[in-house]
Order: sequence, then structure tokens, then C-alpha cells
Amino acid sequence: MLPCPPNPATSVPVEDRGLGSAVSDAIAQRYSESGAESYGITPQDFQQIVTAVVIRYAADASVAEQLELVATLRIGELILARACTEGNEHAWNVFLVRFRASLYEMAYRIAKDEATGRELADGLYAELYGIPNREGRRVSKLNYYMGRGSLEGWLRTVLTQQHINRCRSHAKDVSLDEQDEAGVSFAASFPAETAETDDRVSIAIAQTLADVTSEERFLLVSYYLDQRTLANIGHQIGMHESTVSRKMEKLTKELRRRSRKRLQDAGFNSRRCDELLQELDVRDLNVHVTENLRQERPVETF
Amino acid sequence: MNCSEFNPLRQELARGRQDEPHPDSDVLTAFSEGALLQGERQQVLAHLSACADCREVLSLATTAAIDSADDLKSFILTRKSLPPRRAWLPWASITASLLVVCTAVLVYQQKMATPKSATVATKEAVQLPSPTIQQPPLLPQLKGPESHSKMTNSQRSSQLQVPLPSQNMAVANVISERPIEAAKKSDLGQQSSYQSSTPAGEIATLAATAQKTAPTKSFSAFVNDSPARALSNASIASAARSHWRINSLGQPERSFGDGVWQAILPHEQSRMRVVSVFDNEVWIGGDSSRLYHSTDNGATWNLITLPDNDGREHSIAHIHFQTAQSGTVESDDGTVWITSDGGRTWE
Repeated sequence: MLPCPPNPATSVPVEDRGLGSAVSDAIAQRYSESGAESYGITPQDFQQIVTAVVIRYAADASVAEQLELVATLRIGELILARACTEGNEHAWNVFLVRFRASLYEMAYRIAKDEATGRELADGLYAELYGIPNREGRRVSKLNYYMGRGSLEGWLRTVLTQQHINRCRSHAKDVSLDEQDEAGVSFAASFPAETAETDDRVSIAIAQTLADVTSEERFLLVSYYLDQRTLANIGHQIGMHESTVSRKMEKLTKELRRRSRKRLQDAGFNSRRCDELLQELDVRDLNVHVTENLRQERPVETF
Repeated sequence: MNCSEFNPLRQELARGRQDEPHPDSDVLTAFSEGALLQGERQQVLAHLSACADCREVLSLATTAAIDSADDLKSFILTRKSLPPRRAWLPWASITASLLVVCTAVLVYQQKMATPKSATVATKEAVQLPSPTIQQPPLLPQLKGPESHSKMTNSQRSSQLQVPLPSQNMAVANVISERPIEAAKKSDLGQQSSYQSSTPAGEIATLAATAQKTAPTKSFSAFVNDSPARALSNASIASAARSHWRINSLGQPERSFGDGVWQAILPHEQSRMRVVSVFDNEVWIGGDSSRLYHSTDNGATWNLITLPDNDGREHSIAHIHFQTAQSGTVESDDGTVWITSDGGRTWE
């Protein structure tokens, strides 16, 4: 199960960590557009709410970054979430009008099953309304929303996390009979082959990958390990599919060139280098032969 | 077969730094929406490249968001692909209906404005199927000749009642060959009592053109003309057109279409019976062998003496001129006089 972030309301001692006057002024300027007044939130409370967010995410950042963070906050939705947490009736009416229908729709899309989706959405809706803690105080999950992204996106992400956790927890509950009947899905893995791997190859690959940036590494693992599509990767990092494709092509060529050079430096001849690099097509490793013969996706060598 | 354990690249890619905390839902959402600061983005990218769990959450959430956006886009495209609403159609229908109603009202008003006491010739004009016909004005019947003389030719032409079929046509010449009974039996139902051998009391109305050229046309030919052509000719021939008739007392009268009839030859005691017009040549004949001729559309008159061998007085019943110079005059007893020099000599 994925870890949940700590409750910022209890973990961040706001009063002990002040912000600069410029940041405070920037926060105060956003009070009017937040709609906090309609929910009965005073400017002082508003200042405290936003300050907690800034301290949580940019306490050690520069003033410019803090100002940028204040400017990019979804201030209206953040105040709405806080007002709902405090049990403001008007805020809940606004929340239900804006997000209740989309909450259930998102759950259906994530679960791809109406019953599961409804159960998922009902569970999250109960958490949003608030579950009593040990002290008997009702704690809403909306208190974890910090306004960094959209409230709808946050709800979608939370639904996704809960859906994944739910699937994994249910997978652990599968009986042994179901495992036997399921067959291949729960089959034990084959014993590891005792193939010998030259340490020089591993070292060369590790050195090559150590030089790539975080984005390039994310592209590689998403494409080669997770086998995501280029379109899905592009949506995740905010790029067009064709841009991701060009980046991947350029990246693989560069990595192949670097790896080949490192392997040659390690003492392999050109022919052996080509054989080793051909074997490094990680995407082709787990593909069945019949699927490979379909030629739906050209075999890409690394 | 799972061979990932033996692929150095896969092993290296899968090697993650699991000691770092996972970014919360807020940060993952902001990452997918591009709302993170640059430093934060690099940190999240580094974590994502090493954390399959967070990549899975991000991928699934992004896919759900894309599906929603695609649904919205397809909805918008569907709306765009619908045929455009013809918002102008109701307004065009209303406008067309109003035009039809207004036209009907105008036509009705024009019909109602036609005086009941108008001359017979006006009935003939009304029968022509065109709204562009100038209707006779509602001038008082007692309007004197002074007011008429003040009118310009254009004003007169605008008040003409009977459109001529052709600018070259002398209606009177043709009509004079027909007895009134034949005219009444005609298929047109003409109510004009064009005078030829008209008994006393009948009203004869004639229209004459001011045109010089001469090929004449029969009345039947005029009837067969299309209305549009007849109206066109009438509008051309409307200038300085005079109307002639013989009233119930047998006195010739002239009008310019304004409803005012001017007595011609007021001192003539004999009863006139027939009028013939060819361009500006006007012939009037009646009892006692009286035959008058005007070459200036009735401004001046000459009394023509017809040669008579037996000394009897004849009653002129028909006057017919093929041209301005040649024509025949026939009495009710069958005597015929022929001239080929405009009435100077007769045979």
C-alpha cells in the first residue's frame, strides 16, 4: 500500500516558521480571489492556510520560488477544501455541485467497472466527509489537499491510489484454490537461468545510465520497463507523443553509442559489441513469439 | 520466460532509490498538470524513474484524465458536426408572409379606389392583369377644362385609362367595322360600346395614338397579345393620347384620360354616329351626310362634303382608313365613298 503523506495541519508548526513580507503580501493579495470571505474564512485564517502550504513545499526555497509557488496555487479550490474540512455548509454545497458527479465518473473510468467504481467513489466520498479519529474528531481527507494541482486532478489521483491499493489488497486475499485455478497468472516463476553476464557489460551499462538526466531515465523506464505507450508517457510529462518519440530515438542512439564505446574500451571487439547490444533489447525479452511475429511494433534495439 | 534478471540494462533501469519518500497526491497531480516548480519537477522525475508504484499511479490517473478529455472533445466535435441551425428561416418566413399580406392589401385598396362611375374604358384597363397599370384618378366629374389645360402631357399620360395594344394602332378604325352587338358577343366580354352604326344614346369611346407610323392591327390581334407586351406598348403610346366618344345626344367629345370630356363641334346640330382616328387624323361622321375631318387631333375641323348623285342625305355608319390618306366611308344605306388623298377627293 502506498504511504499517505502526513497531515500538514498537525505536522507543520506554522507559527514557528515565518515567511518574508513579500511572500506574505503576495498571499494577502490573493485573498479576494479565493472566495474565502463567502465561506467565513478571515484574512488571518487565509494567511495561515496558505503559509502552511508554502512552508510545506518551499520552506527552504528562495523568495522568488516561494512567490512563484503562491502565484501558482489553486487558491480557490484550496480554500474550498479547507472550508469543507471545517464543515462549512455552503462550501459543501459548492463542492457537491462541482465535483460529486465528476468524482463518480472518474471512479468508473479508473475501475472500468460500474460496481467497483461506485464502491471506490463511495469510499472516497466518506473519507472526504470525514472519518472520526481516535479522539472522536472527524478528520476529512480534503485536509490533505494543498492546492498544488487542481482539486479534480487530486481527487483522480487519490482515487487511483486507492484503486491500486484495493487491487493489491484483494490480490493478497486470493485463496489457494483460486490460485490453482487461475493457472498461469499465479504460476511460479521459472528458476533463474544460470547465464553468465560479463561484469564489464554491467559496468558499462551502469556508467552509461548514470549520465542520463531524470527525464531521460523516466522515459527509458516508462517505455522499456513499464511498456507504456509514447502517448501515455507524453501525457504524464506534458509532451506531445511525437516529441517523446524524437526524444526516445535520440536518447537510444546516444546511449547505444556510449555503451558501444565503453564496451570497446573494456576490450570487446566490434562484432561482440553488436551482439551484446542486440541482446540488450529489454522490450523484447518478455514478448511471446506469436506477438513478436505480428510485427505490430518494430523491434527496437537499444 | 522472465529473463529480466539477466539483462544488465533492465537490472540497471529497475534499480531504484527506495529510501526517498513518495510524493503526495498533490505533487503527483501538479506534476501531471505541469504546475510544479522546476526544482520540484526534477525531484519528482528522479523519484518516478526509480519508483514503479508512483509511475503506475501517475499513468492510471493520466489515462483516466485523457479519457474524460477525449469524451469532452468528441462531444464538442459531435456538436460541431451537426448541421448548422437555420436561424434565419423563421424570420424569412415571417417576412415573406408580411410581403404577401401587404401586396394583397395594396391590390385590394387599388381595386376599391377605382371609381364605379368611371368610363367604360376604365373597365377595360382593369381587366389587364398587371398591377402597374395606372388607375384613373378620382377627379371630380365637374372639373373644368381649365384644370385640364394646366396639366402637362406627362401628367395626362399618367392618367390615361386605356392602354393601347400598339403604338401604331388606330383602334377606332378597326372598331368602327364592328357593330356593337358583335363587340358585346366577343369572348373578351368587352363592355365598351365602340361606336360604328351605333344607335342614338350609345356611348362610343375611342383612343388614338399620337404616333405617326401606320401599320394597323386588328382588334383580335391586340387581344391575342400578351398582357406584358400590351402594357409595354401602352406605356409608350400613352403620351398625348386622346379619347373620343359620342355621347347619348350624338355629340362628339374628347378626353385626355382625366375623366373630363370636352365637347367637340358644339354647334353641330346633326347627330354624330361614328368616330375614326388615325394618328392625328380624326374623322367624325353622322346624320345628314355630315363628315368632319381634323388633321390636328381635334384642334381644328373641316366639314367634308361627300359627293352625292341622288341628292339624298345619308347617315354615315362606317369610317375606315387603312392609311392617313386612303380610306372609305360608308353610309347606312350602303353608299361607299373612297378617298386616297386624305379626303380631298372622293369617289
